Amino acid sequence: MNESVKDNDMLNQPLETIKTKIWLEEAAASHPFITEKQFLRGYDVQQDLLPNISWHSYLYLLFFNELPEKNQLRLFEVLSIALANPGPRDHSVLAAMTAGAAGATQAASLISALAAGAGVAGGAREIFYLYQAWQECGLKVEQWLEYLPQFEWAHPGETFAKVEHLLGFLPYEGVHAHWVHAALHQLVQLPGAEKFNHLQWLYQHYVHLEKMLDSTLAITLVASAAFLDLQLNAEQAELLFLLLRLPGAAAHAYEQRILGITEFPFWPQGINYQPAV
Amino acid sequence: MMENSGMKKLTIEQLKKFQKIYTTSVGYLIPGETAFIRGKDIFKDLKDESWFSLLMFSLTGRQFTKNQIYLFESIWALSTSYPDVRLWNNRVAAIAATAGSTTNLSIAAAMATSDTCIFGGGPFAGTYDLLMEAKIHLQTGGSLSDFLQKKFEQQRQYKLSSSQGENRSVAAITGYGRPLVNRDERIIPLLDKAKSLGFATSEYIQIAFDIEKTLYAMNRKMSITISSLMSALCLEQGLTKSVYQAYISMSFLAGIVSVYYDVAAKPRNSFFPIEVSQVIYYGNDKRELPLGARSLI
Repeated sequence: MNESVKDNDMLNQPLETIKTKIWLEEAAASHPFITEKQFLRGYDVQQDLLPNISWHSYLYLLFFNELPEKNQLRLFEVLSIALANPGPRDHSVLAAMTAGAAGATQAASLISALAAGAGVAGGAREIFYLYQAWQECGLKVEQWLEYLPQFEWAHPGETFAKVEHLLGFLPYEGVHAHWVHAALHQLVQLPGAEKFNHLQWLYQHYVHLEKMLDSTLAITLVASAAFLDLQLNAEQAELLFLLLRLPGAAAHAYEQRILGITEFPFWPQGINYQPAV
Repeated sequence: MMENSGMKKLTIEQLKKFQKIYTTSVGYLIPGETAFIRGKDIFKDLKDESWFSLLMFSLTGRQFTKNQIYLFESIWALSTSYPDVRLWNNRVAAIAATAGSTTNLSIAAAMATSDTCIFGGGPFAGTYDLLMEAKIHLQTGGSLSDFLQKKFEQQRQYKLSSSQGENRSVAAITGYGRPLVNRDERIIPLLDKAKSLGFATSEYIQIAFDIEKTLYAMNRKMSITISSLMSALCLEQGLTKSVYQAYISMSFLAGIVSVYYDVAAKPRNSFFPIEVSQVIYYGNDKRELPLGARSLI
């Protein structure tokens, strides 16, 4: 086929499109690839949102069609602070720091945080699975006590590893003092918190759950309750758990990048090498 | 206090030990001297091995024959190496390339996008389990049609699925029926290759194709896809599920790097650019920000 005829045929195809309920752009009159105006859920971003609303109202509006109620907004903000820095011992932050120590790209630090923070052991997949637990057990303590020790995600084609701990609890024995208790206490004290059914239920029952399960409450169960009270679905909650824990990973990765590999573990004598004979 | 069936908890004593020591049989570097893989010196014992042979040895500790290594390599080569920019994992690398990102970031993102419910990681894991379960079901006197019927019923019972969209659902029988077309052009070439190497003789292969026949007999026109054959061939080789998943994780690499390279060499921002009017908005009409919302800063 003649090249220009082939080109013409291909150029006559209709343009492919992307659909969105979130975002409207209006092109500059003189250039179809340049956006003059942006609208989020119908609100003019530059005229109305930039000067008037908070980062969390904006973030909420990305996921919902309406602006948050005041109590929801406050919950979202406080939850974001509770999640923002899991600390340098957390898998996601430590992975980001490892990339930082090695002098990898900044994106490598965040990709590392996402990969290590995505898992079933304290990561975002645990949040997703906890939604199933909430769905199965609701606000019934006995059901939770029965369900958690037997939890198994049996959907075909799951690529995440098997769950080996009690969802929503630390993977260690016993009930211990944990910052998560104080975080939960703060969340249920927020203005309008009486409407947060899942958080209130958890606050009322966590001591009993901990005792019966001989385990310490983890942030994943608190976060899943808060996400439910914000009326996010399981996949949105999984995404936001990943997103909201990135700030700490970024900051620690940067700090470690400056400190370098010499100020970071390498375990010179740490490998007990036992090759099979 | 409740017994936690199947739930493992490390004790403080175990944690204290793991704090300082990592025990492994895989590998070890002595900086400035040499490195070991599975007890063998990489520069003495393994210096003539191909990369693929080294990979399979490092991963499993097993010494595979030349034909086995060729089979493992052929599974990647013939099944998952299409350098077509439109395929979603390749396309992620292409978009990163046209945006001027790094090679490794582009590849890492494309690799992550190879773990999906409709291709790659999902079907690989799903077909491995499906074939194992089907074999056990047949061994205990069941039929494939019962087995598949039960799978369809299970699929309907799942309350929460991570991969269903308005126009997309996970295949009811993982590895059968394809997203774009029902026929999978890779089946015959890979099967021929495996046979030419003396493989594809086991019950797993038979079951993989019998499932397709049974589905058609049940009036479900779902043809076998390559992931089912890949899993059957690896089950035949005795790979455990976790070894299989590790081995297959990089199988899309040849396509991904080629696409990255191709797009990166072209003008920046020229990979299927999208103009403003191509984004179809069907959300809320334009509206004024309520006065009350202005205080939410």
